[in-house]
Amino acid sequence: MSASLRAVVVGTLAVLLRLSREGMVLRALAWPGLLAAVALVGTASVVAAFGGREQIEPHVALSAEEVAIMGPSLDEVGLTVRLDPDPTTAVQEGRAERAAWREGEGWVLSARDAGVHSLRAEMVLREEAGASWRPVVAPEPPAGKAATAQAGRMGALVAVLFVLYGVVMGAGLAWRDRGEGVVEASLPLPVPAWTHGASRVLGLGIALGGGLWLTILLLHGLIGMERPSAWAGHGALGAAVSAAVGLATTGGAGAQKKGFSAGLSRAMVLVAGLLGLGFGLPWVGAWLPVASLAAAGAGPWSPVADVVVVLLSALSLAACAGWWGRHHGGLGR
Amino acid sequence: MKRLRPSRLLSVARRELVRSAAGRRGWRFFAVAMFLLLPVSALRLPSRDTPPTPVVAGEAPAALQDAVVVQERAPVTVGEADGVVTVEARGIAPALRQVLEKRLEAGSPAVRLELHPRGLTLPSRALFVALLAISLLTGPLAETLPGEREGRTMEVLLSTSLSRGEIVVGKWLAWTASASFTALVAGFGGMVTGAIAPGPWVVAMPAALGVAVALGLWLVRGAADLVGGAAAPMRVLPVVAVVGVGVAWGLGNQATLLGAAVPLGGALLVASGLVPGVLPVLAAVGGSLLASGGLLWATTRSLDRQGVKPRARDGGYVGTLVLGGLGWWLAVAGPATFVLGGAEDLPAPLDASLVAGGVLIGATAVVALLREGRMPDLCPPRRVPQALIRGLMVGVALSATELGLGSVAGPAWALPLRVRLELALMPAIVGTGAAVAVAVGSELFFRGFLHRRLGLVGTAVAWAVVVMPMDPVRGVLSGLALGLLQQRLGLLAPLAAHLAWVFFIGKLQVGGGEWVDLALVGLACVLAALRAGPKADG
Repeated sequence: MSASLRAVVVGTLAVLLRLSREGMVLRALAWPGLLAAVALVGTASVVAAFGGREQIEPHVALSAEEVAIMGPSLDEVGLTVRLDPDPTTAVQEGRAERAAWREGEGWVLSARDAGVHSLRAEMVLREEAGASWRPVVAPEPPAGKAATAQAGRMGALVAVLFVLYGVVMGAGLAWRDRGEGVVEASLPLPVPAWTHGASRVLGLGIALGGGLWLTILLLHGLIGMERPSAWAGHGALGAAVSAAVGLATTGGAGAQKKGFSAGLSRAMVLVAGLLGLGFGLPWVGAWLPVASLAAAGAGPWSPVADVVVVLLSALSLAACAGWWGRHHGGLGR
Repeated sequence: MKRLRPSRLLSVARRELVRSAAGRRGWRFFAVAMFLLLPVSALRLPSRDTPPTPVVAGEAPAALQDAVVVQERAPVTVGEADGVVTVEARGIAPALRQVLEKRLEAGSPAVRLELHPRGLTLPSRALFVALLAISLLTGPLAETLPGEREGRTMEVLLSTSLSRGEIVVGKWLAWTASASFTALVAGFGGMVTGAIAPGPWVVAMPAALGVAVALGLWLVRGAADLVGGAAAPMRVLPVVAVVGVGVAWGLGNQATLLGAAVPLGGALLVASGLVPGVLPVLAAVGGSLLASGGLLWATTRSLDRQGVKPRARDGGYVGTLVLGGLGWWLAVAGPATFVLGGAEDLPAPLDASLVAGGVLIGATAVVALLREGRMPDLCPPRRVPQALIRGLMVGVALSATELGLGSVAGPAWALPLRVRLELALMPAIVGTGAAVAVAVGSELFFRGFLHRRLGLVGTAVAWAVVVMPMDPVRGVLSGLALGLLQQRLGLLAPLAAHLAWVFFIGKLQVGGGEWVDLALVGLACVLAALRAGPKADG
């Protein structure tokens, strides 16, 4: 192993050790997973303890003479018939969720929503009226699939949060190391300056990627998630790249003069822009680091895109590490 | 806060803005904020004048063919039976309904659908502008007290005749005014394009930002530098803001003024335009002022106590025990709460739950050990065979006992919890990965980390409480056996024992009732307690 490579490995381990001793970093990494899991389990426990909201029995309000005609058919499709003196105002005045009355040869169906129960009522009414078309209620899709899709969205949100963490942690590490003299003390070592940047980028990437992976694992174990590896993979790469961007903006030329907030906000705008690109133009974002995370929701895309994202991420990490080294973490010109 | 002199407050505020945002830096901040806020506040969403062409699956009848797009996986299937067109769906979109009524019923439908949706009003964009403006406070808040500490200017500030209250309130004033100005400019931009209507948000937005800045100052009161100062507000402020809106909305459904008075959330709710009237605005401003005052007072008190260099706090082993135990319980037993809540068909994969539990508890231990800088003794090289054999024997003895020795039956509703916790004791049934993760993770946590802090008995009790709460007698005894192995032979022995336990459980049960089980666990303890022989180093 060459000296530079060994320096990167040792430096990465040192960064990881330092990060593990930062209470702030640990809290930041543990916070999203624990908060989401505690909120989910807490909500389920409250529902279990106090019971869900009582469901309103699906019904249709009818006048006395119409009950005789439509009552049995509505009952057959699982709708209760409610007798109402004036069905035409029953829904508007809040006496019923849906109501029906005759109008000429046909019917009027008044309802709060056009959901499944209204569709069922319409089916019966259209049959009675001998209409040329009628709705048929399609079978309910399996609940599990919808739940895993929702959980997948939660995974995407958590991954986006880790990407934003990456910016703050990268910028923070560069700023703090320069302020505390760590950069000044390490530069005289007989290794190329870029190795210091590389070890910081890799250390941050591993810490953020590990934290995200654990969070996704916890949420997947809790509620079952659609494509957990996609969120963990694209999220970890995105977090590493955003950490590198944060490191480069606060560890580049003249960064000290510009201040911490200026570097942080520039990195934040770049990363937010990439995420926006992924959401807005997913077929473009699927090929770019950070943006690929936002685009993953519209995917899955071709495996070639994943390979390109990995390569571009590696290039970005190398470029940011090189940039940091060239400007000696902000100490140089 | 002893004295708050207006001239000094303004002086501190001016210095704060000059220090953090003078000249081009200030303009850069403003430009970045506008770049993010203006699209949210001012861009108008495109609207469709003509409805989209409906997409259906199945065989569209001739009358519909040129009015719909047929796609194989569409959620609506169109067909024909006995001369009647059928539309199979879980809901019919207005565009499709319009086509059906026009093409099949010549515009006079046999059943006319009248919808009267409940009055669900969407929040105004001013809410999103306010939430984004709150998120943008991260950088400036990091520059306040932490920036002073990092720049070594806190000593100078504290030694001047300025009171602590004047320092804190002056900084609050500076950033509340700056953030309010930026958010209001974005809001007025929205008014120009017609995306935001004039309303109480003009008053509520600064009130919300005032509480957010006060909360941010309180959050960064202990941060020693910019990085520490940036991390807490970034994590906490958006969550508190969103939760605050939820709480205010929930309370507002019961009593409007009560909801509006919720600090931060009430002001955001008023800014969203969901709560009309003058009184809610007054309640929101009042609640925000009170909350800001309280937070600023707490920050001032804290500044006096902490002075220049705050003392770093460490959660210690109790914090690690709580964190590891919580992670384990959330992953392993958490899905059972969904069953209790009535969502029985949630597809929480058991293998992923157990892997997550094992990895989380193991990762907690690894981080705690790294923080201590002291790794547990794995095993002296010459004792490796002895550790493996002894571990195997203890593991086999433990696996031969049956579940339920002195077990707590618990109430009937707790059955799903009990089932999952018991499955965590036999993870090999679920998968090899789960078994290895559970065994390695829990040994790293209990024997690797906690044993040194809590001792043999304390760790055994903690093990029983976290991992085997339904089977406490066997839990404590097995914890003692594994702990004794760790004391005699290092971490490798309990690791081997636990792996043997999870892989052999259910295969070697001897039966015979509780007394036999007790004897077997006792045997495991005795085997573990045997002396290890001469030390490797002599």
